[in-house]
Amino acid sequence: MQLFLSLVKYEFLKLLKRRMVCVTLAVSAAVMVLGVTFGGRLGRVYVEGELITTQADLDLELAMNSKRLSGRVLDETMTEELREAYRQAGEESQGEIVYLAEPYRKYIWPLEPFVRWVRRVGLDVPIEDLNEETLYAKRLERMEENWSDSLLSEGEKEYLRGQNEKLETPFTYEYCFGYEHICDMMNTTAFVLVMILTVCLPGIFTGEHSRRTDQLILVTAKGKDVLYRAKILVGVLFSLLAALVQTACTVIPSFVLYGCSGFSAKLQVIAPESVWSMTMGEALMIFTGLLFVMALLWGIVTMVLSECLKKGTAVMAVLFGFIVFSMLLNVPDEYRIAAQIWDATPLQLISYWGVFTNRLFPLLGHYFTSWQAVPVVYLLLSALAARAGKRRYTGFQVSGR
Amino acid sequence: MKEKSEVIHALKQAFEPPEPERKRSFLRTLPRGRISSFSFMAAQAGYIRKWVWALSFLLLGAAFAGAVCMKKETLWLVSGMLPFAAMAAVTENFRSLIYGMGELEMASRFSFRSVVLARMGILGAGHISLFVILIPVICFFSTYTLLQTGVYLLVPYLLTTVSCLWITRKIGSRDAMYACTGAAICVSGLTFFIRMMMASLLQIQYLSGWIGVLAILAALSLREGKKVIRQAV
Amino acid sequence: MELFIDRVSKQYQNKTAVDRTTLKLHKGVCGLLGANGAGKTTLMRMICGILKPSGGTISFDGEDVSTEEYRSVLGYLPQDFGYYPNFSGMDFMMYMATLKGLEKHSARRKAEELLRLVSLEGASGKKIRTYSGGMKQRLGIAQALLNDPALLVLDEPTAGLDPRERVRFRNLIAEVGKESIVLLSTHIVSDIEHIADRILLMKDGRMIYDGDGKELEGGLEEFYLEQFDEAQEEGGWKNTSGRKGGQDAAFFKSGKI
Repeated sequence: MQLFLSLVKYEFLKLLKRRMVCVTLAVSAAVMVLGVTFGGRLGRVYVEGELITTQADLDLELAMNSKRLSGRVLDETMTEELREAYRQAGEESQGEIVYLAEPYRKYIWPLEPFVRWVRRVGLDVPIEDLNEETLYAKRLERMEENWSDSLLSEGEKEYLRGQNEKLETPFTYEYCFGYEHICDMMNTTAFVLVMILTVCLPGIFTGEHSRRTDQLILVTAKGKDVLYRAKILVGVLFSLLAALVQTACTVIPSFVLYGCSGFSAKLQVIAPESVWSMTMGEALMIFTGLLFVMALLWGIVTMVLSECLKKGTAVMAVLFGFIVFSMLLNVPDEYRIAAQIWDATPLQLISYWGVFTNRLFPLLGHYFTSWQAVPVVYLLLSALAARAGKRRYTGFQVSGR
Repeated sequence: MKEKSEVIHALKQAFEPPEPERKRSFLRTLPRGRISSFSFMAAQAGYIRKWVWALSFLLLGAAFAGAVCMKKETLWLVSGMLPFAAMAAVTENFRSLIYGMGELEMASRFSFRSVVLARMGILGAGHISLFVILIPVICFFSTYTLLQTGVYLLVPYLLTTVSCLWITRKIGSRDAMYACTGAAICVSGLTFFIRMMMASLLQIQYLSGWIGVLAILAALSLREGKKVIRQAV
Repeated sequence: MELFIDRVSKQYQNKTAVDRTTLKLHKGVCGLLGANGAGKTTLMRMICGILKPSGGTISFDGEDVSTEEYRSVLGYLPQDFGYYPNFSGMDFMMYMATLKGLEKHSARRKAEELLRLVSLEGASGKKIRTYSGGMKQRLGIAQALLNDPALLVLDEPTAGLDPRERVRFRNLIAEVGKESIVLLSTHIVSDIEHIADRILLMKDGRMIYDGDGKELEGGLEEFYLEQFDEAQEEGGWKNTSGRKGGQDAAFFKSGKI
């Protein structure tokens, strides 16, 4: 065991002594912190050509409004207030109510969190017809529409309806900007994380071939099985460490900006059409857990690919090509199975629409959600990939030199 | 005539010429054909690897395809790919250093400096032509001005150039290829990152800042290029 | 102690690198000579288990070449090997010792002893990338001896060593050869003449000589060069080396440049 840990230590040293690894980690952490802190908060806000405020101030105002309204029930009282606010703004504007223009900012802006929630439900009736009944009816209608568009089976729809019935309506609005911001950033966090792993991990295996130390290590007693396990472990630990750093770079600035209240806010506050009975804190933990599992899979696949291709540049090219492909390709919903598989790939999965998708995984008469099924698949794939890589590594033949 | 040639042939067969003496020193006195600088440069063009040119054509293809399919987002697709063109150009320019040929080239008539300058000239001309086509084509389909388009394309290109030159200078071995690819991926990722998360930085009021960054990167590229050449010679 | 190479072959698409070679090696130094491309490195790699033979088996005291037990008694110095530039000499030795399964304290003692033996104790704390070519070669020799190997395979070990270091190396190998099987390949005939108990000459993948060299008329070098000349003639080069008629120009078989 001591020998194994010793090898792990040396492999870690070899990895961290590469300047590129430290630079990549540092730069990506800095970029992530800056992006989370300033992303969407730079710039100025103009209405009809006139400078109103800055994006940062607007964001702050919205957060303060949200805190003030926290704890309010999204019921008839709320809709009545909204109707009254629109009526007053309409009288003052004497015509079209322009977003962020003076009447809007005076009457409607203080209730902006409610307005945004109603927009998320997708209610498109005139404001006079807005009430609790139509609002929640519209929510159900939108849910059923989405399920049909996603080509869900009757069994899945029944299951989701059952989940929906467990929810208590009307919902209570709670301030959870920090959690919402983190969930919005998760896809970007995943993107930066896979970039880090793509750049840093290939060298664990390709370095031995490019430096021609493979001949020295493969002839030693522990140079095959034991060293392979040590290298894989180092890659896995590095992947998880990178995931932790990136998560911290997303979570900490978000909490510093918006505070950490809202752990117990229901998921429906940011996603009204969601049927899952969970809080924002639980959703964040699911996201984080999935990010770690994704990092594990990506790390192992990167290492195995690097042992197969033997060249770091080739590995990076293949993986980066996949990343770009992931960003550009969208499988239409009508190809249900293909779309579901594609949505389970790493960069598609770590996003709100990927994790909390309505599509379920049926198995032996039960339905499993994405966040339940996909980690298991990822872990299995990781184990299989590691095994395949071991055969490749131990079977390597030194020739052509 | 036939008899004459037969006699000559017979004499050649019968007569055994003496062994040459001091052949090498005699041959050295004869004037040798030398290639011109232009011929040297043209010859260097043949040694530039095909994939470097293929990448440039791929970029062009991506720009035109993107213009048809992606319209406004073509700018970001191409600016995400340009770091790889920059990496290819830098690693090609300094291939001698990276693969250990530097010492041989430094000792030859057309020295390492000439080789590098020739390659820089050829690849530079190629990439300038690429930009001359890309910028107006992409500008046509995007919502940005010509100046903005040029800046948003050149900044990732030059950032990668500076990074790769620095890496080549510091590492200067085969590891430099790996590190340069990593740098290109990081810059490419940064481009997508800015597009996704900091789109407000692309507003017109920040254009002067971008131009400033571009100027700094251009100066740094020149400086790093000179340093690499000076270090090797 | 016996290394048994049983009808080992290595076939590539258009070439037979090693052709049904059978050998039994025992304690002592065995020199392997041959021209470039004769198959020496290929044979050595197969003996070390980093190249799979197309046919035949290799075993050491009954242990097949693919087992961990075989590798635990093996020490190998390749012809062209790399290093970790950011490691110091001592770091490298400790890392290799770990790979060879040595316990930490004894590994450190052994590493220090070997670095002293190859005159690298002063540079052990410095990064390997600052080492000269000869220093790197000596480091390579030191790492090959870390686990007191019963089977030591050295592929052109004296490349990059100055004459004094070469003499020291010969003495070291001769010492090791008293207790272990040493297989040493080189182009420098004098290295083998001084220390090898047994000489193997390889040509085109086959062993063309296996003996102690004493019975060779004109000595080992003459015999080796004759074989080498034949190989060159077949390839089109003829190296006169001042031995035939005083000609000082190398020329192709046609006699013209």
